[in-house]
Amino acid sequence: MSILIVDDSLDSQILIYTLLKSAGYKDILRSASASEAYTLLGITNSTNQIPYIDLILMDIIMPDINGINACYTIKNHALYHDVPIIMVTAQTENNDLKAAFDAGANDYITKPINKIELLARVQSALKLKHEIDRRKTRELDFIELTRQLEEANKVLRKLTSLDGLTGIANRRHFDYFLDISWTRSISHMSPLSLIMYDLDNFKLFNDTYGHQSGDDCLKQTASAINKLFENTSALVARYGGEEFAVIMPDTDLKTAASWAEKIRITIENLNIPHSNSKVKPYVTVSLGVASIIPTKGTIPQDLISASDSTLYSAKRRGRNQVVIA
Amino acid sequence: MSTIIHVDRELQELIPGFLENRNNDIETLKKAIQRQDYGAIQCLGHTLKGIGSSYGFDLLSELGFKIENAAKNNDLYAISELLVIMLDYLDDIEIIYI
Repeated sequence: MSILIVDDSLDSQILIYTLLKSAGYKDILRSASASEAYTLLGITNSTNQIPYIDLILMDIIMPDINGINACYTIKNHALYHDVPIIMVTAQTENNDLKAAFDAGANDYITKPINKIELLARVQSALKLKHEIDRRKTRELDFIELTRQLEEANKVLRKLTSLDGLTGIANRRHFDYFLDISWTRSISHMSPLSLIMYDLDNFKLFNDTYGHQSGDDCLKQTASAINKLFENTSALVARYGGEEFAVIMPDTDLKTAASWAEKIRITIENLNIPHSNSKVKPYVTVSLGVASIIPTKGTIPQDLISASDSTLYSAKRRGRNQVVIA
Repeated sequence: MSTIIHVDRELQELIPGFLENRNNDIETLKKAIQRQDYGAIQCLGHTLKGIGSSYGFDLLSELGFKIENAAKNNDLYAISELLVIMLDYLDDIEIIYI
């Protein structure tokens, strides 16, 4: 714990110094004027090596800069905001005490100096400083911990909402996103559309090229469609197996249908060979589109069933096409 | 009969220097009286008031207080009397360290 004494009277300065030394305080610095203290504390010039100060004892009556002005200056410096200042004053200077406290002083000691009083006040001021330091450290630790926790939660949320193979949203996130979109659509009375699509003859693709190629095909098509919806409010998700879904908030049936056609064309344009396909010699998709303006009493499952049955119609009608509800 | 002054043992090493500073104060005070420099006298009185009892020299604080006030009143006569009392006091003290 280091203490700075600022006093123009050398007798008084050395007295305080000696009493504190005798009481066991080792690190004591002395200044004979406020400007000397400013230099020491790096207030007037910041080039010096600045000592760490826990407490300042400041005489009030000093030539040039008095203790009250000095107290104000030091307390308003960012480095010393939390450093307690004890004013040292002759008893008859009571008028100055108010000014001293207004300037940010924490306590005062009257001259003539009484050893017991001096040591008691110094001890309690240092205790205060110690407590402030401890809290500041704890606060910083807490902020850092919270930040780490948020970071970890972010990663965790991402991990639990993404499909391991394709990297797009998984079924869990699909359910979650559909639920919140549903609630939002009810309150906004806005349409909500759902596109469901399926890779045509995917079992045959796996049989022909192997599961490794099947996985690559799923990844390639998923990321192409995810990219297609990149700057929209829609969510592309892997619904299961080779089945995918696109949830489109604030979108009516007609708009959703045109997006579905874009999906079909995008997949066609990937031109992934599928020699045993019964549709084309490359990978194609079948799509079903449904739209609803959700109301209380309807459930998300209604929308899923509607687009699922249109998807089934698309397959039945020969695949590689869009069917709307 | 000399005045007995009780001083904290911890301050023992400081006392010779302290007393020398008071002799300097007396010289300063004499010169200030000659110049009728009441500002300097008031300042010196104030300092004495603060440090006297701090070191165990209670009368010194009392004299400092009186000197400060006398200077405020431009009372050169009172200041001179107080200077004499201070001289006598410092001439005949016995210090006991406790």
